[in-house]
Order: sequence, then structure tokens, then C-alpha cells
Amino acid sequence: MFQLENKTETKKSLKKVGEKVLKDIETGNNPSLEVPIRALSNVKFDEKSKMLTMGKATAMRYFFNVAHVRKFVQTVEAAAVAKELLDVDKHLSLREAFYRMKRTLPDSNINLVDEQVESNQAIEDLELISNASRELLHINANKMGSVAGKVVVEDKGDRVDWSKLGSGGWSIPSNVEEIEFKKVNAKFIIYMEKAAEWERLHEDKVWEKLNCVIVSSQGQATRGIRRILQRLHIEHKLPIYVLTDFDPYGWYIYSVLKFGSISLAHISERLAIPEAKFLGLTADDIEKYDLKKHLIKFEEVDFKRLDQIANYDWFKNSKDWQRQFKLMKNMRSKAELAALSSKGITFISEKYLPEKIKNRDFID
Amino acid sequence: MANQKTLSAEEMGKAMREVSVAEFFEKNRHLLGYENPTKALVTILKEIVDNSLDACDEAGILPNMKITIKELETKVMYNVGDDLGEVIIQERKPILKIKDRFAKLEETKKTDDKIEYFYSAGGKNYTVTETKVEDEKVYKISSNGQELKLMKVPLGRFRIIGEDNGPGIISKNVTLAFGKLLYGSKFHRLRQSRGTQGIGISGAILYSQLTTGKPAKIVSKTEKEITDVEMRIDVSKNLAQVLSQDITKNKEGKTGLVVEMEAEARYIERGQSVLEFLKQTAIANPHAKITYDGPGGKIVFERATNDLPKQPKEIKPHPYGVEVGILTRLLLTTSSKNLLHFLTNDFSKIGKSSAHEIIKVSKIDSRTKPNSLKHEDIEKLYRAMQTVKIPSPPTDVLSPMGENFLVEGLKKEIEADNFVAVSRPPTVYRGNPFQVEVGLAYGGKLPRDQTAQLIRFANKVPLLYHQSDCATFEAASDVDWKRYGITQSSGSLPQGPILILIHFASVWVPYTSEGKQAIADYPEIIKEIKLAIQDAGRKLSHYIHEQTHLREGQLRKEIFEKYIPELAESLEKLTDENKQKIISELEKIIKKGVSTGKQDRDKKES
Repeated sequence: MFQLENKTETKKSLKKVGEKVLKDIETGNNPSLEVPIRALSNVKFDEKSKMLTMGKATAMRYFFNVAHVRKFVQTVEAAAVAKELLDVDKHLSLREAFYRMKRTLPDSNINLVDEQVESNQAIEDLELISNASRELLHINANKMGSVAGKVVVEDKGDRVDWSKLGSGGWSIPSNVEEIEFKKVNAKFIIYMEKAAEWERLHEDKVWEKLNCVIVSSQGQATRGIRRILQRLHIEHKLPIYVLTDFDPYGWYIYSVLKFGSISLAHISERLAIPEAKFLGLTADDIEKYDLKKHLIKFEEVDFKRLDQIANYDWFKNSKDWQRQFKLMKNMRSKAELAALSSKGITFISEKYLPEKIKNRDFID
Repeated sequence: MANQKTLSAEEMGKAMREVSVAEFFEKNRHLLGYENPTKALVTILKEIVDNSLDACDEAGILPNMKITIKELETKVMYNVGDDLGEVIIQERKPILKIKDRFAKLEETKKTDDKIEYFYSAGGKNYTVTETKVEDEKVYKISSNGQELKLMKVPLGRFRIIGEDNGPGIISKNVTLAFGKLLYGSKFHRLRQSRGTQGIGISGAILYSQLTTGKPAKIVSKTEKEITDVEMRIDVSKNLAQVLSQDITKNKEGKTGLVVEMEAEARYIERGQSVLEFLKQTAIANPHAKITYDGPGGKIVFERATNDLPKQPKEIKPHPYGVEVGILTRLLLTTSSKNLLHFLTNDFSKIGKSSAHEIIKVSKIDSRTKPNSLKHEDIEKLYRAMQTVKIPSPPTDVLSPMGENFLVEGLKKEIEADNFVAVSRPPTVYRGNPFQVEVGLAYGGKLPRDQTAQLIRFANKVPLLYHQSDCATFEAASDVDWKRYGITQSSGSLPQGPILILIHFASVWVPYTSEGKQAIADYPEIIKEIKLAIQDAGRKLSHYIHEQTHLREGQLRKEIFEKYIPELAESLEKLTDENKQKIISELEKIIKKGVSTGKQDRDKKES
């Protein structure tokens, strides 16, 4: 999927969506759109590529259907907004696109979109219908991640050295397709889910000492982060190590980076990094680094999420992971990365990371 | 304690004396339904109406009643300097009294929202302003532009007149029926009737007397004579005190009864009010014509049928239904010579063999005189009666409203779109035959966004108070209304444009208290009520589902119409096709009637 690479193709494709609906109307048929289903039921784990891929199931979305009409119009409107953006060659954030789509239906108090979730979904559906990724549609997500390390890139004509950007580092844009890697001296990448840990590592100059790139997001990694990680991995063969909290949600962040996500399974090949390795926190880390007294009791939802993840096809056959899941379940608790600081302010930078990387103490 | 005088049993004995029933009720008026002035007025009316309808039904006469409630006066007192000012409202017009002298009305000014009366008294000017606040009139006085302080609003005084075309009461019984509490024809027998205890009308007279001191007036016309009485109740003797009595021949031959009394009360027309009581009475008695002339104007509740309701039959008590107290009273008053006769003659469904078995179990001599039984023996007898197997009492003795009358009654007073009714077959609780009927009204002008209105009847008498203590309420809240397409949060009455009528008919209605406002929740009763509601709910659900379907279709169309210009606008931007053209084409599809959305139901949206 997403073979479309240039603007004219994208424009054509959007127009085709509109013309298809128009033809339905002219021939007196119920206007419809065929939308691939984005749900676990239509996602498969491809053993060969080690990625989540999207199945072939689609749903028809009709205008003259009370349950569909709203989504139908939202999707067409999303296409209209994207076409407008391409025409004037500007970008909008997802939030801005929401406001662009939001309007009140005449003689009513109904808004075409009430919350950003609705416009986001319409845009994701549009990507599938038009075969054009969000980036090609000129719609961007918010910038979320930071990066530092011995890499020099060129972005919109500016040269940016990731090792010379002060305490804040470089923030990863949502669209990284145009970025060129000019010089890559690092040997590997450490990705972490928490900005606090990134700041710790940055202050301790870990990227310099271990000769690596450090990348963070706040929670689930955005598409921009995932894409730039994938590009560094593919184009410069940098191994990727992942640091998350010791809890089911943290581990799922790793799962998304490595195998792809359910809702974006259609673009796994542009985002997933099947060779990514999990660095920690593992159940063994809890034992080895004596973090037991910092464990946080599981809630009902944590148990549920853990069971769900343990049953995903891509984890089912991994002995190492099943062992981790079991250990976590037995502990009935989770722990945060920040707990490592109980061992010393720079413990994570000077002991934990060097030791784990040296011993190649990963889970695949 | 030490310096307190001790009393001997003899001294204490002197203080003991018999308390008359009338005296008891004077002190416990709440038991009779007179705990507040609003309810008092409803109760007085209820007693008058119940008696009239019972008398007409028993005599086989189509009831024609006239009820008059006249507001006599209301006083409002104000502080005027050191003296009192009084606004007395008579015949709906204010009269001003300052320092016990009537002020002179100089001028009246009427505008849309108020009436101003200008008075002069003792060289000063006063203004009385009449405004309306939520249906109630409010009077304020001011002097030279300064508003005076309100002291208190005493109650209004009302004259209540009830007139019927019933058979009347013979002269010698008039003062007994109206002047003695616990006197009446209904307490000593088991027959479905509105009144039961013989307290009602004399209780009303007692209340009238206590609040106004005025005697009651009764005119009774039987076929032969006319009795015209003015009387009070002698509270200590529980007897009528006749002030004047006049008996003449009835030359015209028209029969009927007129009861007139005055009482202090408060008059409202919403909620638990006189008007609501009469409206519900009219629903339950479509064969009655009731003309009501009240402070708010005249209303006629027309007759919806000329058919008389089925006559209820009198039955003897069933052994499973009696309690020790009733059994004791029956034993004392029976005309049977011995226990065996007593059992076979005075009860329903006790034959010779059952009677012998009861006697055997109780180990009492069958030849014992009924009135000579000691208390222990009575208890033994009572227990024996409960253990021996006896067939159920006859159930064809009741007078239900009937499904047709129920629907007619509802139609006449409730503006709704659909009416259904169910009469369950009669059955038995604790030896008493009973029957449940349910009527439902749906749609129309019934409020859509409120909890359903429940109207309850016991032997065709509306029950206005203590709804949440009532078996009908419990049962109606317990039914799963969602099945019939009606919204409900579990465990409460349903929501929406629905009115629920429940009628409980029995030879003996198990009220939770003397106020007779709630039915006790025997499991057999709850079960029957629920079954009746479910039957009715099923009948109604066809209609509701049809309506929902129609409404959904309409709603669908409206939704699409709203989204059409939006789709057209988006498509115009996307394809440069003219917006108006797209709109008109989409509207064509709607007119043609697209199968709106049933297709691909099985293909779920993501």
C-alpha cells in the first residue's frame, strides 16, 4: 500500500474519490465508499516480514444510512480539506484540520465533527481510500519527540547537528520524509518512552559516552518518530534498543515500534522495525537491580491489558516474552523507569545502560 | 422523685374512663386523612362521593352528582403600626379592616397582571394589591407607598355541598349514619364497596365541626319522605346532637341526598387536589355524571355509558381471611346456637365435614355456645381454621370496571393516542377474593420527558396519597417496561408519555392504614398486579413499536436532509461540480425513496 509518491498522483487520487461518489449520485444510487476495516479482526501478523499487515476485509460506507451518514460526510470533507492543502501547497496539523472540518449543519445544533478523534479517524480512513499517507495529504501530527546524538541532517535547507543543540535537543517533525542524513557517526539508537529519562541521559551525555543516538517520545511514539527511527535503521544500519516502564502499556510501545500498530497496520512497512530489541525494564531487571520495593500494585485494567498483549499473535510464540508476561503477572505489579534513580542519580547512565548493552542483555 | 406524690390504684382508676371513638379521632385526625388542610378538603369530598356512588350502585341508579365548593372567606393579617390590619377576601374580593373598622373602598384599578384597590380609613390611604403567584392569589397592603409587614395567612373557609340522586336514607337512620362513627351497613359484611368502616362521612362532619364550629346540614329524600336535619356530633358520647329536624312527605317522589358542611381548608387545583380526585373518580366510574362547581369555575364530567356496573355480591368471610379480632366479634354477634352451626352458617366454603375437622383439631365441644368461648379457645379455634384445608372462596362476587369501561373512562379524561386495558380473572389472597385491572394510556398530550403518572384505585375509589407505600407502585416499578418499548431506569416507574391505571377490587382491601391510601404488598397481590401490567404492556407494545418505526423513518429523512448540503459542499470543493446540482440530485434520490440503510447491516462499520 501507499505506492503514491508525488503530489499530482495524490491529487488525482483524491479527485477520484469525489468522482466516484458523484457518479453514484448521478446514477441515482446510494452514494458509497469502500473502507478497509481497521480493527484487530482485520489485522494479521505476517510471520515472514514480522510485521502487522492489514487484511482484505472492507466495509461499505453509505450516505443514505443513518449509522453511516455522519462518517461518510466526514470522510468526503477530509478529502476536500486535503485537496485544498495540496492546491495551495500548505500543511495543517491534525488539530487545525479538525477546525477546518468543523462546521455546524444548517438549522441544527449538529457539528460535522465534534471532537478531534472524529476528524483523525476520517483522515486515517481517507489514507486507506486514497492510497495516500497522511504526510502526502499534507496533514501533520504534533511534534512530540526529542533526539540527540552524533548525527547531522539537512531539513528544508538547514543543516542540523544533533550533538549541538543544547539541553533541549532537536524536536522531530511530524513529516520526516524530506530529511536527509548527512553524517551518521553513532553506532546504535536508544529509544525511551519518557522525556524525563531522555533528559537524564542527555544531561549525563550518554550519547557521547556510548556513541549512540537517544530518542524519546511522551507515551506512544508518533509516526514521525517511528519513521525516522526506521529510516536510520534501514539507511544506516543502526540497531535500535527500547527502554520503557515495566508495565503492559510500556511494553506495548515496544510492540508498536517493532511490529506496527493495529490502527496503522496498513503502513507497517513504512513504520515498523522488526529488528528492534527490548532493553528494559524487564522482570529480571526488577530482581537484579533490587527494584522490588518500588513496585506499584496492578489494577484490574493492568491484568486485562497484560492478558490481551500476551495473546497477540506476534508474542504468542516468543518464549522469552511469555516468560516475562508470566513473571509480571506473578508480581501483580508494575514499575517505572524513574525508579532506577533510587540507586543513584546517574545510575541509569553509568551502570544500568552500559552494563545491559555490554552484556547484550536484550529481549527480541 | 422523693417529694413527688405517689398515686394509689384507686386514684388512678378514677382518672380512667372510656374514650369514645369520636373523641379518639378528634385527637388523631391524621388517621382519617385530615393531617393537612389541603388533604382535608379532598378527604371530605371523597367521603361524600364514595357514599353517593355506593348508594346509587346498590340501588341500581345511574349516579348524577353535583359537588359545590365555595370559598367563603380568607383573612390575611398585617401589622399597621401598633394595630392589626386585616384583608378579608370574601367572594374573591378583598375587604380591608383597619383597627377593627372597615375601610372605605375609593377606587379599583385593573391591569393585566394585578388589581389595585384603594381604601381610606382614619384619614389615611391604603392600597391592597392583588397579584397571582403560581395560580394562588397574593394580597399585599401598603400605606403611602410603604409596604406593610405580613403577619399571617390563616386558612380559607369553604362550604362543601354534595348532592346526589341516590335512594336517600330513611329518617331514623339519618342522624346515626352521619353522627355516629363506626356506624354503617358496610362493616358487618363482606361485599366490594367503596366505604367499609362507617367512619368516613361522620369523620368529615367532625372535622368541619372542629375547624368552624358550624353544624352540618343534611337533606335526605326517600321515595316517601324528606328529612331535613341540622346536626353536630357530640364528641364525648359519639352521638348526633340534633339542632333541628324536619320531616315532610316527598310529594315529587325524586330521591337523593344533600350534605352540606363548612370547613377550614386550602384549595389547590394541581397534583393531589379535589380536581384530580374528581377526574380520577370520573375515569373509574364512567357511568356517573359529576358536575363540579368550584372556586376555579364549573366543570362537568360527563357520563360515558348508560350501563350500570355489575352488582357485587355479598359473601360470608372465608376462614383463611379472618383474624382473631374479627373472629371474636363474629362469635359474639352470631345468631348461631352452637359452634358447629356457627362454622357452617357464618363462613364461606365450610361444609359439615370441614367444620367437624376444625372442631376436632381445636378440641372444643361442638355444642359450645359461640358467645361463651374463652379467649384461649378462640385462639385454638382460629389456629384450627387456618390448618384445615378449605376450598377457595367464590370469586364471581366482585364488580370490576371491565376492559371496555376502563378504556372509555380513560378516553374521556386523558388526551392520549392509544388506550389498552386488561381485566385479570379474579383470584384469592388470604381467603379474600380480589381482582386486578390495568389500563394504559400512551402518547398524545401526555408529557414525554417525565416519569409515568400512576393512578390507583381500590374498589373504584382513587388513591391520591402514599403512592410509594402502595403495592401497585411496587409492582409497576418492578415490571420490565423496556420490553414494551418504554424507557425505564430499573426499579422505578417508566419514563415517557404513559399513564398507568391500576384498579384493585376486593371484598376486603388490605389498606396499610386507616387513611385508606395504600394497598398492602401481599405477594399474591403483587404477582397479580404485575401479570396484569405485563398483559397490558404487551397489548400496548404493538402500537409503540409501530410508532417508533414511523418516527425513525421520519427522523432518518430529517437527518439526511441536514447532511445533504454538507456533502454537496465537500464534493464541490473536491470535484468542482456545482453544489446546487448535487443537492437537487440527492434530493431526487430521497424523494424516489432510497432503501435507507437497511442494506449491509451485517457488514459492520469499523
